[in-house]
Amino acid sequence: MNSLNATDRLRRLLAVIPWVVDRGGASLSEISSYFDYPAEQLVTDLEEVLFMVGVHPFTPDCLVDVFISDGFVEISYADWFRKPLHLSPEEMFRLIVAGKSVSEYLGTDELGSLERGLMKLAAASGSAVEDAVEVNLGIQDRGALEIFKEAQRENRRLTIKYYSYGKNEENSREIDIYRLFADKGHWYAEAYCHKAEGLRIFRLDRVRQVENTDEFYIPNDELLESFGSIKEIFSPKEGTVPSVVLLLPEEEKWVIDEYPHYAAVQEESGDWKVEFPVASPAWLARLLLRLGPNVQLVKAPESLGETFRREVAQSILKGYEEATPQMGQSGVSS
Amino acid sequence: MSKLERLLNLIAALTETSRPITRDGIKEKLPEGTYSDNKESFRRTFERDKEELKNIGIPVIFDEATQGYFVESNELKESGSYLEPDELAALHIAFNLVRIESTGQEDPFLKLGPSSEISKGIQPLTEIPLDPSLNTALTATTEKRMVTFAYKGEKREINPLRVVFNRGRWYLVGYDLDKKAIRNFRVDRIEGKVELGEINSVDSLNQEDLQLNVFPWRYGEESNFKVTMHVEALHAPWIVNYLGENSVKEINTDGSVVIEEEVNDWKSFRSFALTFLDGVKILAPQKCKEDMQAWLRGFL
Repeated sequence: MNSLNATDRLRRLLAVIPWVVDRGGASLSEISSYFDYPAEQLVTDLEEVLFMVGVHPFTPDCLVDVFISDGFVEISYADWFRKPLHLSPEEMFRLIVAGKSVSEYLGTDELGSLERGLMKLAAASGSAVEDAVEVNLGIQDRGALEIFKEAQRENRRLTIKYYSYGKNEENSREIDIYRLFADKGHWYAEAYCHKAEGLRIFRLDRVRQVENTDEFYIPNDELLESFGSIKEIFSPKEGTVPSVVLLLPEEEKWVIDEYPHYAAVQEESGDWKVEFPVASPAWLARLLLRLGPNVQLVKAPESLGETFRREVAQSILKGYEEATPQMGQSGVSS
Repeated sequence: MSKLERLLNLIAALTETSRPITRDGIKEKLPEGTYSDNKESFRRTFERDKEELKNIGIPVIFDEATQGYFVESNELKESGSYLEPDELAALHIAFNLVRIESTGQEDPFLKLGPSSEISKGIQPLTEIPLDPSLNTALTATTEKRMVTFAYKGEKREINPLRVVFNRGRWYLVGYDLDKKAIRNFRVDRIEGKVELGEINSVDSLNQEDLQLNVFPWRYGEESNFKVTMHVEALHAPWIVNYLGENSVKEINTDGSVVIEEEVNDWKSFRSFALTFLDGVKILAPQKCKEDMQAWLRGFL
């Protein structure tokens, strides 16, 4: 951060003063790094501003004492600034959301310090934010998440049976987990897949079976460094996969919010012209069928166009024309 | 005198005093020239300073009786509820693990203090979006204020109960005064401005009433009905786990299952069923089965 305005500097100084006083002093570089306070600005503010601050009648015994020597700062007579600052509802909200998100990831026995910290903050702020907010990162994937967490901690290789949504089939793989994350209500593992010989994303609720192996892996630093933001994972780079252009009526605009797209333009008619990357034909088939026959396929590779859409619909309809399984005939009642 | 110096001296003056001080008293307690001698100009600068202090977490309180100002006493420290180093570190780690969209003004650790135990370059566990209406929804919920807003083209009056992050979206859960039932509203779909009612105008409800309907087909306004469907073996484990064991009506020898699910919004459920392509077949009610076939025929 280069230039801070007066409010940014005030926020930082009010945090720096009690911290330095409590520790009996701190180095300039430490303060600058912990509080994101540019070193030059920090020295100016300590020497030229804080030095002049105090209470009536502003005689030397009523002023803050700042002493800097060899890059080490000591502050005294600054009790006026030791009052803890109130967290604003927004700040409280961000902490509660972060805390509750991580609580979901951690097991209950790992929660101690975080839970205590959150409770103290909630009690001290007198704010009702904690009770008002609920965070669910991913539901119903708890069992697999625990096994994956453990494997990641131990660098243990796993064998999984996985339902591939894109291929609409189940297969077995050996994987080394590199990171776990939650997105849009599901937990995912980014892992090195020995079958694919590369990093792949696995949604935990699609893992049908998971077993520990006796093998361990050494994490590859290059892979670890290649990780981008979670948003990037689900947004393929242009040109890497085929794409289709759809014309969506206004009421189907949710698709733009929901799925990664390269471009979305509203036409004069009010319809949206959107270009979507197609990760797999099965993904496109589902989208087209859900949207309905009136959505126009403006542009698509031959294998993913009108014929493709018609054939997928036909294959499902065929199922309805065949003998429909009747309840209570072939099954065991649950 | 710089603004920074003026604000620091103002905090010191308001903290040092044991009783409220009037505006003129404050002016006298600060070095000469801190505030203008022009009354109106002094008043305006002082009001701006008060606002600034409030924004950074130091509310300056006005006492009617003495017409004076003061800063609240140091309750936190006295109650011994300061954060221990391990608690502060845990909060730091949590804050670093969760990427919450930011306007850049709300780093709570400037107030709580840094921790030496944070590791830089930590991989995020999740990314949480924020929405312009979220703050208002939160204020309404914490201050128990009724809210009015437009949603799906309709005006809604809601007694807010909770804000919930679910499936990657923020929802406001509240009692809909018109529908006389608890409803969930996607915060990013609230249209226009959210109007806030009086503080404490909403009664609390029982916690068990606050169950968020996790399935979108249960959000609808259609009367509730049951849909039965056949799910082939490839998808059966997932769907049973997702909808819950109670939804299973039949388990077949080939691994397929028959599921029964409550639906308030058929269009949404049809969309869900289609995500399984030919792996799911609607069995009943007949009108839903026929609608699904008609929908598919539309593509031919």
